[in-house]
Amino acid sequence: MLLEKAKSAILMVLFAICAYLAGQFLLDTSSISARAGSAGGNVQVSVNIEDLLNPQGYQVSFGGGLYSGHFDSGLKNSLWSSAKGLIRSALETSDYTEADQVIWDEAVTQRSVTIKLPFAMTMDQILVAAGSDVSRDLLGTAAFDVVIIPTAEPGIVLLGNRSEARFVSFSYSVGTTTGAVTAQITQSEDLAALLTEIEQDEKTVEYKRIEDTFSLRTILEKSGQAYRENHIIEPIVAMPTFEKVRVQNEFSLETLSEEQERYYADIAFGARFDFVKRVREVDGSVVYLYGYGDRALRFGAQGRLEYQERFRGGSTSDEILSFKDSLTKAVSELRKYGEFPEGFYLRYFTETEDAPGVRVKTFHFSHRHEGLTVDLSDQEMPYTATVEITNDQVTYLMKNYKDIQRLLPTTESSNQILSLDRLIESQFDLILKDYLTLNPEAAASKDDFGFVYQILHDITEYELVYFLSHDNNVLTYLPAWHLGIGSNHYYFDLYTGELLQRVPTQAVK
Amino acid sequence: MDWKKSKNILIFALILTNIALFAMTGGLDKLIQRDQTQDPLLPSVIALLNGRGIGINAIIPAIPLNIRAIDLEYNEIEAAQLAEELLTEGYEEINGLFVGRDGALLVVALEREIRFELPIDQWIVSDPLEEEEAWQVGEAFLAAHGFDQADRQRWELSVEPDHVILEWRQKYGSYFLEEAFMRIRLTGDKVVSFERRWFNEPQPQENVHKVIQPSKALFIAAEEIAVTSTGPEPSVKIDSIELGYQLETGSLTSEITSGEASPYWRMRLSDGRVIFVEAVE
Repeated sequence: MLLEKAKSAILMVLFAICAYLAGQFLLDTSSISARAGSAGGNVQVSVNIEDLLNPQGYQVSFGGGLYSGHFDSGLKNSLWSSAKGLIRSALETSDYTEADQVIWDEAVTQRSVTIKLPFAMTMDQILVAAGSDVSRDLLGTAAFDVVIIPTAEPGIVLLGNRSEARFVSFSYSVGTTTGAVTAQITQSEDLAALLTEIEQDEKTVEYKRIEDTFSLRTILEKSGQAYRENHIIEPIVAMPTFEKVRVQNEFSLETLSEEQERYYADIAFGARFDFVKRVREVDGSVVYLYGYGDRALRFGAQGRLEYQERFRGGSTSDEILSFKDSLTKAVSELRKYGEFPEGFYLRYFTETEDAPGVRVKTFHFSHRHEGLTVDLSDQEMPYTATVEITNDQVTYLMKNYKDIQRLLPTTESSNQILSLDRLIESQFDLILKDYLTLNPEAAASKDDFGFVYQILHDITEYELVYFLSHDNNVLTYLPAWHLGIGSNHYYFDLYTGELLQRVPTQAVK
Repeated sequence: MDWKKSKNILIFALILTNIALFAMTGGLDKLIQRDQTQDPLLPSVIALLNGRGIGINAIIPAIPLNIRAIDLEYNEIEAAQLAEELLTEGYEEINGLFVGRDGALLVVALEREIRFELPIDQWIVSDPLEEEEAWQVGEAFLAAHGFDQADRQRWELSVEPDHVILEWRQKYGSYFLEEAFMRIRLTGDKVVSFERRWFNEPQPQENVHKVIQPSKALFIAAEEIAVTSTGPEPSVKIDSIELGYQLETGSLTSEITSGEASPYWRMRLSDGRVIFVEAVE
């Protein structure tokens, strides 16, 4: 009897131990799966990099001194599509010849398309942008920021570096009508037809060169000195109205939820979530650190998301990727963190050698709203996104997207966009002061006739942009003029002429 | 089948089940590890260090298998309140800098780091105090101003010709908490400057991390320790080796205010250097 009682007691103890161990086992299992994280957020995506490699701006010349810098976005896309084919035809096979300023000036002013590239690109990079698989290092590291395709006399594509005044010409065949040449003729005819369509389109705004409007050559040309024409254009008819747009950051540190944090942390760290620490910095930023800071994901102020990873140099995978492969890797990685905003494009690129065998490629992206570049010069990080590739590893990624909230009705009494002369007149004191600071030798002639024309001649940029203004945490895309004179760059409200931002050249990429 | 036989079968089945569950929950590993109270590689590593001119004065800790994750948060300081406490003769605030009527200065950086200093004309010209007496004067100052936390430990006393610098560090149980300190400068028996950065009571978390053995930490640190060592004769010695936490990790973050701390092995060397080794693989 006593034995039976003892057995019963043992049985109960064994039951209790069994229940405890089973509980521990379940706890361990759930903890492992929790630490493993969800692989669902670790999206594998492929992105067509050609979609992100498109011009910064277009200038079409109809011949006879008439131009346009503002026309329908659909026509811009068609223009780029046709231009790409001709660029490929010319750059893939033909040799180049050096061109001089006269040839370049003629090409700008005759019936042609001038394509402003987002940054000075090498021949290889232009080929990638044009969708070519051919790689050529014919011109080495020489970089070009403008492409001109004349349509009046088809058969050549010109590349130009305006700051270095270096121009080269490539030809494509239009002499016969067999084989691949037929396609080139068709593309050339398409481009010419598009130009006519743009010319006749109601939405096209007519422009003239500042050079012609103010007869700069007549005033400034001096005998015995070579005169350089300025090809910057300005509108000469009424522009359409541009609305202000209220936008907001993708996330705010005040309202950031744990689910949002985990969503991005899963993307950043994937299934390896076993030693990830969450810390908060003085400015309120939340940082997820993987291991001993080998990788970090930061939710920063102004809705900026950053990912950093230490370079694992010396590993077997330290192959240096090409521009194209690096860009492909960069955009694929960026795409994991969400859809790209409207009009997203590669804005700037740098490549440096950090150490022998360690090359860092940095891709800066920007975006457009309603076809106009959104300028972020006012921001701490003046880009929509940045990805850094060290050899073949993503070592830095930043994205700072904005969500569109609503359009703001224009409150100005007049919806008239300020013309260039009125703009300069209203801001002349500021412009003059900056100009004399940069060109102290000009002070002696500041009261001379022609001095204002000299300033006009030195205009390097005049374009419509959306300027992201930041006022007490209220974010707005303001339509603005971006005016560059020498190395000074200004952003003025399109309607009031109010100075929104003034930046040195270095900050304008 | 009668109940007696059923009991036997049940007992047998439960014993088997419990053994299986014990093994699956890592119980066997724990048993094995419990037997290894001595780090098996330690003698070889010590021999290696000796060969490179590195001696060991420290007691090597028994293998701590795990370390619990903790959350740390810097102790926030109300600057104006502290100014009332330390600048008793009145003060003026200029952009966050508190200037006493007697010329004393107080600043609380990032709401957590205290720096207080008397003007040099108030420094006493006198021989430094004896070590224990200096500690007692310093600790009396801490007690008088509510900074006599029980989790402090004496860290270092350095004697200069005209003053003494005392430093305390924070600990959590037997673990060190790096980045927290209190520092006092004495001229004679007068406190002429005070600095402090401290953590609130650490918050233990559920996660437990397995740490590397001390022998491995010593092996990893050997290269760095040996930099100043020139021959087989011990020219540098390891005075202590401890396990603890750091909040700042690597260069990817800056000015952290709170969050989960990272476990580290910390080694103090006889030449004044302090070396940290990441304690979790």
